[in-house]
Parts: sequence; structure tokens; C-alpha cells
Amino acid sequence: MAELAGEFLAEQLNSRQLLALLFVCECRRKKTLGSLAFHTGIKPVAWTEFVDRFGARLAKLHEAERVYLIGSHLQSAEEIDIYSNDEVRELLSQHRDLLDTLVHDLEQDGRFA
Amino acid sequence: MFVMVKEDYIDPMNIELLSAMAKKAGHETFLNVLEHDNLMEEVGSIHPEVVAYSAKTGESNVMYRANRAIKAAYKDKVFTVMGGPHPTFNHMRMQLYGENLRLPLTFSGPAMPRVVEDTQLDALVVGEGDEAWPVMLRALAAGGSLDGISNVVTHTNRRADGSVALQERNMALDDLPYLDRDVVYGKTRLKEFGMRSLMAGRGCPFPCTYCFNAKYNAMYKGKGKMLNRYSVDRLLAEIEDMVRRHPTQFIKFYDDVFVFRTDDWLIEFADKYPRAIGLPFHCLVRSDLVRRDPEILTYLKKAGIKSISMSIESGNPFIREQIFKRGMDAEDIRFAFEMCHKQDINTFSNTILAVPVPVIPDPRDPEFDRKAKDLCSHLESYHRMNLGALRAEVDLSARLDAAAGRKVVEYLESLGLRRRVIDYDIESVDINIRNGVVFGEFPELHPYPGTPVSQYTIDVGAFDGDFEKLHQNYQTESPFTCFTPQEKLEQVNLSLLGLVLLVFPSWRNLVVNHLIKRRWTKLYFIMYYLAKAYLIGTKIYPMKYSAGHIVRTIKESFFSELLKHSREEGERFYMKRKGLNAPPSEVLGGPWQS
Repeated sequence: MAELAGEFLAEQLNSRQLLALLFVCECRRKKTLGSLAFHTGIKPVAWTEFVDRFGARLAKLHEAERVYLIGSHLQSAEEIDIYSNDEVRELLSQHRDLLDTLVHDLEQDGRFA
Repeated sequence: MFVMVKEDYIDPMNIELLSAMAKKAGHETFLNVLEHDNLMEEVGSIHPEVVAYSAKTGESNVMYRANRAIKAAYKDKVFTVMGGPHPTFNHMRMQLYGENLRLPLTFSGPAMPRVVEDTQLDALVVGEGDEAWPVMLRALAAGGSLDGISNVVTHTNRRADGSVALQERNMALDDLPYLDRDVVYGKTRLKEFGMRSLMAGRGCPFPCTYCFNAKYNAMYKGKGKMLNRYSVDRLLAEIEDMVRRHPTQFIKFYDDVFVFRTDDWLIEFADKYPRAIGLPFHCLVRSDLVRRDPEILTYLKKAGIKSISMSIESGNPFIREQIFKRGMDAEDIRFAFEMCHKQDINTFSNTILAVPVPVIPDPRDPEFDRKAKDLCSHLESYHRMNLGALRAEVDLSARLDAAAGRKVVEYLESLGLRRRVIDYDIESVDINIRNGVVFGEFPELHPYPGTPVSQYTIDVGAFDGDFEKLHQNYQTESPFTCFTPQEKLEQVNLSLLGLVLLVFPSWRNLVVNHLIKRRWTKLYFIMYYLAKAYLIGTKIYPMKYSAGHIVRTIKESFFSELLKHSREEGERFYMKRKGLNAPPSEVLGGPWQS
């Protein structure tokens, strides 16, 4: 019913949350999720490269455009149906801790302010 | 009977699919090509029960004229229907046969004209017609009502708010019949042409502002997966069938984006295509996706790709990001083209010229102060750009002295703004040269209803919103009022010479400093045609031709290109028509030329 009423879970996420989700999906696809380690204090290279790449693309866009563009990548390269609340909810709950860490990191990054 | 305006070198897959579905349901189908067939004679001899059009904006006007002639002669004896992008985004202002449509309806959206189009059609199909088309044919055969069929608009089921009940997206493409190429090849030169076009899937999620996909996706939000593909086996089975029945040398996959990543589908395709089909092919991808996942190219190469399209759209970062919303940077483009060169894949790129963009005022201009501040204000309010870094250095509320003026100019340049209109287009040609693009087209921007970039051109006062006057083609003089006649001349010349520069990059300075300013457009057209024929024939879609075929192709393609670049196409095109009796002012695309 939520979907019918136009209340899509993905639309309630901001660009930092979506970008973190995109990274998680990319790692899941590349089967590298298990090798990510944030607790050592050193950011994984895959994450810094990912952030640099998207930082350049997103820097000049405002929030709504960032959300749309990241959503495009989620739907295409990661084949996530962002308008399926079940699918998005499952992803968010499966990777909650990692997503929280990534979002926190993005919040400290001026490029994504 | 399907009606199309004119033939091209690309299969009209819309008609071919609808025809296949109609045949599958037991109907007989025909095609009329307005360019060379006499419509009224054929309607008179075939007596079709249904006449169907699939229209893009621009050609829709031509189809309306054809339809009005049919309805005037046959009234209720022939049922006429139109689908495609134009009715999908304009159905709310398309007046149907027997309807007295009054605007405004309570619809909303960017850049929608507020005039009624007198179509005299009986029905419209909005969005995907896969489900609606066969159901509609069945209802018509049984004499039933169409009012309850999803995606169909009639004058009795039209909603006041402009909304339409839509089926979910078709996610089972494998269930569709093979394209009926016979209906088209029986009437066009495509039968003789060795390149066959088809699509491996549907959908594009990216928000490019000159494209209808963003609005289309918004229409279909929550109505099924956005991206849907044929299975590899189903796709290859159709290609095998096609190759067996029609001489084929080259395949063009016409999907907006053929692959988004290296996935099981691509790996399977790369494994099976060479063994099952083994023909060279062309497809479209995006540079940023290649940079994210360079293995895409490895698998396409393994499959046997010969050439690839990756649109640049603009070499200027301001246009690319702020106006077109491409979401890719110059490094994405550089990386992707370099990877293609390394893999020996010939590249094809589209780059749009003549985009209305503000220019940096001349510091010597007595009004520099006001103009510079107005421009900064425009960037902040309209484009919602953050100019905090500039404001930290320069007090924009005070009068700008020479040093502050210099800082403003430097800052605006860093955002991608340039001092002359033509500088943006030269930058766009330059990025093609710099990245070694093998073949490139440089069309000029033309607005289409409902696209965000159209709204932008209206917002900045470059376009009055009268889409009726748009030319069917987008390689003629710019429709925007913000350009001077000299600027328009330089844009047209550069759109032709840009391709020539890809063959002879050392001519760059001669072209941009001198040749584009001359009124030698006809000469440039010849140079463009020769460069295009050479590159397309040898690098992008290389095929073997008989001597007779070469002569015929050169003749046909030369005149086809000439028409594309001619503002007079409307008049000359209609001099061939018989039986439509159009008033002289009603030319192709409306009274634009008068």
C-alpha cells in the first residue's frame, strides 16, 4: 500500500545514504564485502576510490539531482528496484552497521555536505 | 495499416513489433511510407480497418495531416490510433475525432504547450502499448468499447486531470513475438541494407534533461522494474531467425544503454553471440559506466563488437552538468575512450551544440558590474549553485574594482562559463578531437515538449515554447532567439565541420578561427557528407557493397542528408504529396519556415 500511495522508502533517503547503499551493492556484486575493514582506523582503498569518483561527479549537483543520479546507478549497474520497498528495506537492514559507518564518513566529507 | 513519414537506415522497430503482434492475433498488416507512397490511394485500395501511427514530436504534425485526410474521406469507416513518445507526453492536448477538447486540463509538468492539436484520431496509446495493442484490436474486431483498456485514451474515457491508467511495465520481453521485418522491408530500401537494428532490452534510469526517459520513468514509478531485457537465448534466437531470412552483415543494438555492468547476462552474451551469430555489431553505453566497470569492454570485445556509441553531449562542464545533468566528468570520458582505443573498438559520439548558456561579460563593458552580478545571481537562484567560495573573496554587494572583476571572471571560468557563445561549441568539438573520437555527430539543441531542457530554454528566454514550429530535424539552424544570425551561422558550420575535424584534426585552428565564420555552408556540407560516408562505411558500420549498391546508397544517403540539413525540407517534401491538399502554410513541423 505504501508504494501505491507514493511513499517509497528510497525517496526518504538522502544522497549520502544512497551513495553508501550504492557502495555496499557494488561490493556485494564484486563479492568484496567481506574484505572491507573499517575498524582498523584506515579507510579501505575501495571506499576512498569510490568516494573520489562520485565526489567529482556529484560536487556540482544539488541534493535532488544527486539523489536522482545515485538512484540511476542503483537501478542500472546494481539492478536494484528502488521503488520496491521490500527490496530496499531488506538491503538496509542487512547492512545496517556498515551503512551507518559509511554515512558517518560521508557526513565528515565536505564534498557531500 | 501502419503509416510512417519516411524511411531511414534504422529499422522502425515500433512498427515491426506492433505488426508482429497484430499478425500473431490473426490480422493482416500493411505499411504506407508517406515519403514515397500515395496514402489515399493505398487506403482506398486496401480498405484498412485500423490505421496506426507511432509518432515523435515534429513528425506528429505530418501524421496529423495524413490522418485528417483519411478521416475526412472515410469518417467512422477507418479507426485511427497513435502511440509513441508524442502522445505519451502530449495526449492531454491532442483533440480526438468527435471531441471538443478544452484546455487547460489540470495537468502539470515542464514546458507543455497550451494549445490543442486537432488530430482527428480515434484513440491514443500512452506509454508501452504491448498489452493495449492486441486487446484493442480484439475489442475493435468484436465491436466493443476501448474505454476500459489500460494505456488507451479515447474521448469518452479521458480524465480531466490528464492522468491515464497504465499497465505495469512489460517485464516479460521473451514472450513478445519476433519483429515483423517483412512489413517494412516490402516497402523500403532496408531490405537491401545489410545492417539490421534491434534492441536487447528496454529502459534507461539516467536523468539527462534532453531525453524523455526521466519523465517516462516518473510516469511508471512503482509499476515494475525499470530495466528489462530479453534473455540471451531469446535474443540470439531472434537474430538467428532474422539472419536466415534477411541478408545481414552488421547488427546495431539500439538500446539507450546496452549494458550497465559486467553481469551474468553480458558474460553469457559474450560467450554465445560469436558462436551463434558471429557478425560484427554496434551498441551504446555510457562513459561513466565503463569507468566504473571497464570489464564491460572486454566482454563486448570478446563478443565481437566493432564500434561503440558513447555520447559526450558537451565538452563544457557547465553545460554537461548544470544543463544536461549527465552525471559524468571529463575523466570518465577520457578513460572510456582511451579504453576503447586500447581494445581497438571504433568510437561514435554525439555532442550537442548551440545550447543557450550565459556568457561571462567583458570586463571592458561599462555594464560589466551589473552583468557579472546578475550572472552570479542567476547561477545561485536558477541553477542553485553554491558560490560561497567566490563570496568569501569578493563582496558582490559592493562595486567591483578591477581586481575583484578579475576574480569574478576567473571564478566563472572555473565553473565552465565562457566569454563567447561559440566558445562552448568549440570546447565540445575539442573534447572529441582530444579523445580521438572516430566518428561524431554535432547536432544543435532542439527542445521537445516535456523535457527539462526545454523548460530551461523557456526559463532563460531563449525559446517561446511554441513547439509547433520545430523542424523535424535537428541539424538545421538553431530555433533559439538568444543567438545572433552570425552565431547561428557559426553553429551550423561547426556542426558540419566538427566531423571533418575528426578526420583532419590538424585543421582545428583554421576551422575555428576562420572557416566557421564564412558563408560556405554548402561546401562544408559536401565535406561533412564525404567524411561521414567514409567513417560510417569503413569504421562504424563497415559492410561490403556491390558497385550498384554503392551508387544507389550514395545517391540516397546524400539526398537524405541534404534534406536533414535543409530548412526547406517541409516545402520540398510536400511537393511530392498527392491527395493531402494541405494549405501552403502547413509545412513539415508547422509554419516554422514562413
